[in-house]
Amino acid sequence: MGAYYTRDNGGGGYYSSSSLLFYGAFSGLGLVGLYMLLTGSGEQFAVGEFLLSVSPYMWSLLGISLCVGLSVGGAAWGIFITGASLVGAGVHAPRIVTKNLISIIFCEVVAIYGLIMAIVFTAKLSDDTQTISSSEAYYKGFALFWAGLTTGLCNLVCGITVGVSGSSAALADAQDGQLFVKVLVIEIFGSIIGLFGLIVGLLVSGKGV
Amino acid sequence: MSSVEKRTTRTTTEQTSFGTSSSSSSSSSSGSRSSVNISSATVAKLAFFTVAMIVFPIATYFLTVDRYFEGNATYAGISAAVMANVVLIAYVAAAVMEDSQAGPAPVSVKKQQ
Repeated sequence: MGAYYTRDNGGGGYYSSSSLLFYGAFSGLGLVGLYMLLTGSGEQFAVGEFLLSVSPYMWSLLGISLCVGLSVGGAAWGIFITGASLVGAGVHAPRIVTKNLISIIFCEVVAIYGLIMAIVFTAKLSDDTQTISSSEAYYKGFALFWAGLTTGLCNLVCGITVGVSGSSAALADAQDGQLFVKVLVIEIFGSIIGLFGLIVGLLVSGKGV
Repeated sequence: MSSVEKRTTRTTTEQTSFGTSSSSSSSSSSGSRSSVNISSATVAKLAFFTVAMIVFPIATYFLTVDRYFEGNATYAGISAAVMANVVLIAYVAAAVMEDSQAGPAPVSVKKQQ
């Protein structure tokens, strides 16, 4: 009994509330799945049918929103990290502030990438003259979704990278003024990797005419 | 490390000078204020590049998509991304040139250390 109570996370029983929720959901889904399978209607549980029943416009618009949302999230995260370090270090060394605004501009360019890609995707979406159930429409929907997700995730991670290295550039410049250019080179390398996601997003969305 | 200690002592003299109004701390406070001072040209340059970073790539996309690329959005997107990088490189060049004009500031700080 004592060994069980040491594992308790405040759920009030032998198991914690989170593990009880997990076991309950798992056994409930298993019961429903077994009932559907044993009563001859197991084909209703089909992933492919779900993917085809969703409209291609849904996939396209979801890709566009993920692209611009994740890109702006990454840029905001980078500006947040860089700006906090820049203001903190600028209290002791005020000369670094105007020069380290380069890092803020580097973070902002990531959001501009996501905005450009969202505009390109929207232009590909608007000139749709095919029927909605054709295979070309489905291919365009899936291509825009995965191109948007690729661009958004690449820009999210790139924004965080530029933000952390920009924070280090501000702190290093506050300590020694000659270190700024060296850290800025690393920051430029970090900002280039956001272009890779942009190029692949353009290639994938360009295939879905 | 000595510059940090000097700055903390300077701020303490400024804080005490508010009550006592001694004339000796006025020179040190004006010195720190001149080091914080940002010229209006720097602010104008930053405002210009901030607006340019938003306006120039999107304007490049919409001006070139029908005029030069016959509605191909991929090439217009590439040109917009290139324009964003051009604005970025221009700001880096402008900031480095401005820093080299205000040259001996980091050297003097390093001599203090």
